[in-house]
Amino acid sequence: MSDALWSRRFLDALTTIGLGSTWLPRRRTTQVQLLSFSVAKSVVIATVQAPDGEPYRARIAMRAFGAGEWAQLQRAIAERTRYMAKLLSGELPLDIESVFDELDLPLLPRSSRDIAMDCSCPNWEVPCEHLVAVCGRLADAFDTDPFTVFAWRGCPRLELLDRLVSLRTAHQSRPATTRGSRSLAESMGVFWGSELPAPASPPPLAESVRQPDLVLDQVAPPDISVRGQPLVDALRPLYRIITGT
Amino acid sequence: MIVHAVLPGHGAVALWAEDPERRPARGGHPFAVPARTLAKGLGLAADDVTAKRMSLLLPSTASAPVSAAGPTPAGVELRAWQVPVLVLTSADALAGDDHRFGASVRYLLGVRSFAAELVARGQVLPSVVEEPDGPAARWRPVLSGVDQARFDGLCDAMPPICRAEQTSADGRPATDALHGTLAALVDHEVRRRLGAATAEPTDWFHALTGSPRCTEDAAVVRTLARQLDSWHTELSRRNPMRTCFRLRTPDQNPRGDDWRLDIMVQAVADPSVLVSAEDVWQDYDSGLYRWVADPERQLLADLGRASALYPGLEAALAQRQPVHMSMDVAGAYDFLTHAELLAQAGFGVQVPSWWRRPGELCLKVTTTSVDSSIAMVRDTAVTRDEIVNCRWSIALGNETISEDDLAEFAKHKIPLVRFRGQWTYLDRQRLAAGLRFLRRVATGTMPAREVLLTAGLRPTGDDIPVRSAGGTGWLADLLSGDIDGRLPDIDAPAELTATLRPYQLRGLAWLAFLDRLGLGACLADDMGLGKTVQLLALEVLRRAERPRPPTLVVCPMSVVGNWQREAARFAPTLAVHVHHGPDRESGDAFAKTVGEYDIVVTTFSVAAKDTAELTALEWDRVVVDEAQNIKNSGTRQSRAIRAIPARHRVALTGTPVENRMSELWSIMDFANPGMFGSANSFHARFAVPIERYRDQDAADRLRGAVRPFLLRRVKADPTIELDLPDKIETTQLCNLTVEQATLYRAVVDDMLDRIKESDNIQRKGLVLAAMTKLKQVCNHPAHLLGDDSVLAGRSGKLARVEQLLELVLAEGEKALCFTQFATFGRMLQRHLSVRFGTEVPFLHGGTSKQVRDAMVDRAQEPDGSPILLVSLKAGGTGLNLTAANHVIHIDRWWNPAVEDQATDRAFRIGQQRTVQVHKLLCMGTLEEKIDQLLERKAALADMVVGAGDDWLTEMSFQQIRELITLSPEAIVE
Repeated sequence: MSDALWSRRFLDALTTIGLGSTWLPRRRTTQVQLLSFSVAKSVVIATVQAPDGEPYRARIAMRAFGAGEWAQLQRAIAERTRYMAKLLSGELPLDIESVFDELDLPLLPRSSRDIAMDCSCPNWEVPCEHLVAVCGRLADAFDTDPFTVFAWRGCPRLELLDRLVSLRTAHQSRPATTRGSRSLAESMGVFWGSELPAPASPPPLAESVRQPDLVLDQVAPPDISVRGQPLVDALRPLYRIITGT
Repeated sequence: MIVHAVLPGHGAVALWAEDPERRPARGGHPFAVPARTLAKGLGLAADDVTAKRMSLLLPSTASAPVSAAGPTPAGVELRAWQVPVLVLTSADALAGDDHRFGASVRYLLGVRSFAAELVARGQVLPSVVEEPDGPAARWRPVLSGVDQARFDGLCDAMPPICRAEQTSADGRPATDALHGTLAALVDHEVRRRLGAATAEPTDWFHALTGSPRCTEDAAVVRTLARQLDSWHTELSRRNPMRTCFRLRTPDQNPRGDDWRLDIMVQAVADPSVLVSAEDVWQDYDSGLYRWVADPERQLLADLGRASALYPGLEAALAQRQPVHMSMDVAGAYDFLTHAELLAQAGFGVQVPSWWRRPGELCLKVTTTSVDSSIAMVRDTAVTRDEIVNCRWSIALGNETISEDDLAEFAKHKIPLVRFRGQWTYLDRQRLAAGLRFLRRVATGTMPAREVLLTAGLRPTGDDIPVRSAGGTGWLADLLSGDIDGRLPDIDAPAELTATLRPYQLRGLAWLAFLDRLGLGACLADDMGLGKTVQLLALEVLRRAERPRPPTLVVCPMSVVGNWQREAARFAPTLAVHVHHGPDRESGDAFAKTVGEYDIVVTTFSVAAKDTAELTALEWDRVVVDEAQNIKNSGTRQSRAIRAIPARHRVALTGTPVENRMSELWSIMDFANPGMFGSANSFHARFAVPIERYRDQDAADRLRGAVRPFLLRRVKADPTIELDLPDKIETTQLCNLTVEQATLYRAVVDDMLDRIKESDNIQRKGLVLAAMTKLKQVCNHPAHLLGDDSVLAGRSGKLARVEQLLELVLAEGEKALCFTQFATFGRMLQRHLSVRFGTEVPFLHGGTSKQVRDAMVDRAQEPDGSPILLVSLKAGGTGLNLTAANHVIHIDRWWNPAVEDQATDRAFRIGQQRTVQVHKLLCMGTLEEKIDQLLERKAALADMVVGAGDDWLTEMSFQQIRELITLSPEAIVE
C-alpha cells in the first residue's frame, strides 16, 4: 500500500482502456524534453520539445468532479477514521479508490471516453511520443505527491484536508481569543481589577516520575561550552537544586 | 489605604497606594501615598525597594483621578497622573492576606505562584541580556503548551491598572507587562532556590548563580544572547502535544481479560499531563483546546503516521473515534516490538516496566567443593584444576523456574508468559538454549577452572549466560562475590616492617587467596589506602615460604622511586632492582641480574621497548601499577605488557575502574586473560546496555562477574570500616628529567666552587641561594630559568602533580596545592588550567582581601574550582578551605610547623573526610636529604631548622657538599 504504487495504478488504468500497452515500455527512453509541466483542475498541460527541436503543447484532460460530487466524496472519506488518519499524515492509501467507486465516481479513467489527450504536433498517433512523455511525467508526479491525482480531479491537497477536518469537527466551537482586545479606555468599569479568583491552575498532575532537567533535552541545545563541558551538562546540577530533586 | 500593583516591564513590580482620606497634595496624584510612607506601611526594608515617580493613565473626572474605593462614575476619561511608586525586585515581602491590597496586588501574587511553579518544574532557561547597567545573565520562563495557556489566561485576567504606565496612549500591552514581571519573578525565584550569593561580576555562567552582572565583552554577549534566544524560541515553538500509546496487561485492564492499548494525548512540556483520546473526540470544552490549535486534526495525523510504523494500529482505525484497542497476547507482543520504533518517531509510549527491564534468563550453577576456603589460605593443595560438583538449573532473574513451568513455557509461541503471578518476557532462544544445556548436563562434575570460565562473563556457546547460585567450598565462596568477607584472618608476615591496618590485612588475605589459585587480581582501593604496601606484604609472605622467580612491577616513570623507597622501608628483606635508563642491562647480563632480585621495577615505556627481553624471562608475578595506563588494549604498550608471561598477575589502580567499561575490560583481561571474553563481546553485552541504556540488570550481572577478582575499598564509604585516620600523610618521590638533572649538577658545581672560596658570612648567603636555586630546579627547569617556555614534559615533579590531580578530579574531589614560590605558582596556574580545562585560582600574598574571600567562597562551593593554588605567605592565616580533602605540597618548607599550618587549611572543623597530604620530593636531591634529616631526627631537626638558618653556617664544607650533591640513586628519565 505504498505511495509508490500510484504511478503503477495510473498506468494500469491507461492500459486497461487500451491507451498504454504500446508505449509503456518506451516511456523511460523517450528523447522528448519537457519544457514545462503543470497539473490544474481537470487538465494537465505541458510544453514539450521533440528531438527535431520543435516545441509543442500537449494536454491530458479528465473531467473534474463538481462541488456537489466532491462534497459527497469528502463526507464519505471523513467518516472513515483510517483514511482521515492516513491523509492527514501525508499518505494516500490506494484503497481509497473504493470510496470513489462506491459513489460511482471513479478516480481514474475507466474507459477511453473518460480521458482526452491532444498534442499540437502533426503526428496523428494518440498518444504521440510527446503525450507518452507527459503521461510518464504525470505518473511520476503521482509518486512524488499522490495528492496530485486529487488536484487533477478538482480538489488540491490543502483544500481537501481543511474540508475533511471541518467536516469531522464542524460542530466544535473554539474559544474566542480576547487577549488584550480591550483598550484601557474601554475598561474603565473594571479598571482596578475584579474580585474574581486568579486564573485556574494547570490540569491536575498524575503521579509520575519527573525529570527536573527535561527542558534541556527537548531540542538541540546551543553549542556553548562551560569550563570545557557542554552547557547542558553544566546546567543539570542547577536544575536538580531548583526543582528539589 | 489601597495598594495597587503596576507591572513595570523591567523589574518585578511597582507598588503605589492611594488614601482618599489624605489631605490632597498638589502636583501629581492628589491622594497618592508618599513612597517612604508606603514602604514603612508595608514594612519593606529600604534595600529592597527603589522609590521613583511614574506616569500612570487613570480613570479621571475633569478635576481628579477616580478612587478605587468608590464606584466609577459615568463619563470619566483616561488622564495621566504622576504617582510615587516603589519598584521591587521580588514579591517575596508581600504577604498574601493583607487587607490593604487591591485586586491588582492579589493578581500579582497569582503571577508569583505561577513563577514559583515554573521554577519548581524546571521550566526555565538561562539567557544573557543587555540591561541599563550592562550585560546580565538572567533566567527566564519556558512557556509551552499548558503553560502558554495559563499565561494567556493570566493576560486575559490582568486588571487594567497593572498595565496603566503611560508608555503609549493605551498604557503597556498586557503581554509585555506580564512577560516582564514573570521573567523577573522567575529569575529571582531561581536564584533564591540556588542560594545565590552576591559576588563580584563574573563570567555569564557563574552570573546565573551569583550576581547577575557578567563580564564578557559586547561581541561575546551578542553571540551568546543569539544562541540562547534561538534555543528558547525553538523550545517554545514546539508542538505542545503528542500522541501517546499505553499498553495495559490483562491484570491492569478494568474490563475483561484482554490486553489493552490506550490511545492518549500527552503534553510534551509535562509528560504527566495525559488525556484520553476520548476527550479529543468528544469533549470539545476540555482544556486541550486551550493549548492546542486543532487537537483532533493532530491526533488523526499522528494515528496515520503511527499506523505506517506499526501496522497493527490499523485495526483501531476502523472505529470512527478510536480510544483504545483490545488485543491478545500476540497482539501485545507485536505492539511491544514496535514500541521503540514509535518512541524514536516522537510518540509517547508507556509499556509495562518488565518489558524495558526483563528479568534475565540464565543458567544457575550450585557448586560443592571439598576444600573450604579456610584450608585454601593455609595450604597449596587445591588448584584451578580441582574437580567440583555442579548442579544446574534455569532461572529468570533470581528465581529458579520449576520443571513444570519450563515444560509449559516451552510450548508458548509468544515470548510473554505469566511467571509467579507477573507477566514477563521470556527470551525463547535462550530458553531453548537452556533446555538443550540441561538435557546435556543436568548435574555432574567439572574442573573448577571450567566453572570459573563459564560462570564468568564468557558465553557458553549456548546463547545463555551462567550465573552462580551459591553452594559450599572455596569456589562457591569465590563466585558468591563475598570472598572478601569470608576469608579467614591472616597475620602480616613478620618480615614486614609496616603495621597493616585491618582492611589492608583483609586485602592481603584476598590477594593471597587468589594468588594460590593462580587467579589474577585487580586491587582498586582508593588513592591513599596503601595498595603498594599490600602488594609488598604479599611478596614478603610468599617469598618467606620458598624461593621464587622475581616479580616484575610495571609502573609510570613518576612512581618508580616510590616503589623503591617503600620496599626499602616496609619490606627490607626484598631485593629491588630498577630496570630503566639508557644504560640499562640487556641479554644475559640482565637475566643474571634479574635472578638476584625479588622485585624488578620498570616503566611502561621500557616494558614496551624491551618486550622480547622481558618475555623471555621467568616471572613469578607481573604487577601493573596505575593500571589505567593499559586501558587502551590496542596500543603497543598495552599489548607488550599483556604478552609477558607470569604465574600470577595483579593490576593496581586507584581510579573508579568499575564505572569505566573499556578500562574495566582491559584491566580484568590483563589479570585473567581470556576469562572475560573478547573486548567486542564485552562491549556488546555490558558496555552498551550499561552506558547507553542505564541497564541496571546488566550492571548487576557485570558486578557479579568481576566481583571475585576486583577489590575496591572507597575512603568515603561509611559501610566499610576502613578505620582511617583523619589525616594520611604520604611522601611522594619524584624523578628528575635529564634537563633537570643537568641543571641541578651545574648549579651544584657552580655553588661548591664559590662556597669553597667564601668566608663564613658570605657562605650563609651562598648556601641559602644555592638551596633556593636547587629547589627551583626540582620544581621545574623553567622555574629556575625564569623563562616563559612550555612546561609539559620537562619536570618529574610536575608530572607527578598532574597525575595526582588527575586522580583527585576523577574522584570528584578537590585539592589545595601549596608552593612557596609565587612565580612558580603563576606558571602552574596557567599550565594546570589548560591541562585540566578548569579555572585554577591562585591565592598569593598579593591577592586583595576581597578577591581572596571570593576565591575561598568559590572553592568551597560544590561545583567550585577543584584545584586551588596557594602560596605560603597567603596560606598562613585566616583561610578555611575544608571543601578540599587533598593537600599537595609541591615544594617543601623544611619547617614542619609551617607545613602543618598550611595543611590545616583543609584539615579543620567541618572537614568530613580523611585529608590526604601528599608531600612531593625529588629523589636523590637535597629535598630528599633534608626530608630524611627531618624524619630521622624529627624533634632535634625541628628545633634546629625551626630556630633559624644558623645551622646552615655551622655545617662544614663536606656536610654541605653531601647535602646538595645529587645522589647516584637519583632516577633520571
